[in-house]
Amino acid sequence: MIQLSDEEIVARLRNGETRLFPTLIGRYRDRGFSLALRILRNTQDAEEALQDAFVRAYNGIAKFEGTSAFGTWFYRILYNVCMSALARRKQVSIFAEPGEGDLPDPGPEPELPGDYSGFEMRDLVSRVESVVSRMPAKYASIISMFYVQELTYAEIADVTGLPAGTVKTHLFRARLLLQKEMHKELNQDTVIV
Amino acid sequence: MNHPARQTLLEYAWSVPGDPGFSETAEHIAGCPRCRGALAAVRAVEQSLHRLGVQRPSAAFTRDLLKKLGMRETTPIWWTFLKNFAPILASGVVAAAVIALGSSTSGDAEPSLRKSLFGVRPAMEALMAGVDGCTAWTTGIAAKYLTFSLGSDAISLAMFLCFLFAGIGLLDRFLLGPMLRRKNY
Repeated sequence: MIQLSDEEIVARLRNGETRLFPTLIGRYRDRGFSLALRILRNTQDAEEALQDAFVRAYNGIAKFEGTSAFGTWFYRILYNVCMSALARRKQVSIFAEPGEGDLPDPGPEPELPGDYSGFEMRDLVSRVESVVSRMPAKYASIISMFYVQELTYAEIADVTGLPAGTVKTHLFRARLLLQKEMHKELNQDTVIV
Repeated sequence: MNHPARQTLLEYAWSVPGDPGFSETAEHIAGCPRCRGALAAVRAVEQSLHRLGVQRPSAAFTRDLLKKLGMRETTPIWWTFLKNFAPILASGVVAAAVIALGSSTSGDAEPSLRKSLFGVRPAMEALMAGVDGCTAWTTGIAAKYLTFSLGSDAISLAMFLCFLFAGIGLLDRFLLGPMLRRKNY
C-alpha cells in the first residue's frame, strides 16, 4: 500500500477527499498530545486543545498555503490553542512571565555534573521525563518541540512566533535547567547508594 | 588545573567544531578525566532527551474527534477483510460446491435431496426461477450441510463456514454496506 505524504494528503483534502483526514489525525495525534500536555499539564485540557486544533486544521485546510510543512502549520495551531487555554486560566503568555529570561536560581552547587555511568539509560530517561514535566511550560514546550516533535529551530520559531535566536536561547536555558535538576536528583541518589 | 565552568562545558557539549572556545575546551577535556566524566554525564542526559516517549490521549479521543468532524471511525480490519473478500470467496465456493457435489456420490444426503439440489441442472433451474428459486436452492444446500454433514467431515465444516462468511459478505455488500457507508469518512 502506498503511503501518501502529508502534502499529497493535504492536496487531496483540498479537492474534497475528506476521508483522508483521519490519516493526518493518526500521524499527529500522539506527538500533538505530548506537546499540549507539556504546555497545559492536564490530560483533559490537553485532549480538548488537541481536538480543537484538529477541528481548526480541518476547517482551515483551504487556507493552508503550503509555505511550511503541514506538521509545522498544525503545531502552530495547536500551540496557539494551548496558549489561549493558558490565557483563559489567567496565566499570561508563558513567554512573557515576570522575570522572563532568567532561569530559576541554580544556587550553590558543584561546578560540573556528576558521574551518571552507574545509571541505566531507562532510569535516566524516566528521571528526565520527570524533571521535564516539572519545568516551566516555556522550557518544557521547547524541549518537547525539539526532541519529541523533532522540529528545527526555524520551525519552532515558526510555531511559537519567536525569533530563531530567542528559540535557541530558550532551548539552551531549558537544557541548562534540566542538567542542573538532573544533577541534583542523581547526586542525591548517589549519596544514598 | 582550571576546569571549565559548568556553563562552558554545557556549551561545549552542544557546540560544533569551529564554534568560539570549542578547541580550547576540547583540549582541556582531552587531558582531564574529571571533565570527560562530566561531559559524558551531560551527553547521557542529552541522549535521554532523544528517547523521551510520546504520550497518548485516551482511547475515546479519536472517536470523539471524528464525531465532531462528522466522520465515522475507521472500519476494523476484520470487517474490511470480510467486506472485500467474502463476495469473491462466496462465488468461488458456490461454484466449486455445485460442480464438485453434483458429480459426487459420496455425500451423506439422502439420494432424493441430493438429486434435487446438487448439480449444474438444479442450480440453473433455481436461477431461472428467480429470487424465490435461488433462495430455496441456497437454503436447501445449507440445510443439507447442517443436517447431514456438519461434524462428520472437516471439509464440509470448512465449506459451511465459507457459506457463512459469504452470507455476511453479501449482506454487507448489498444491504448493510450501502446503509452504513452512506457517511463514510
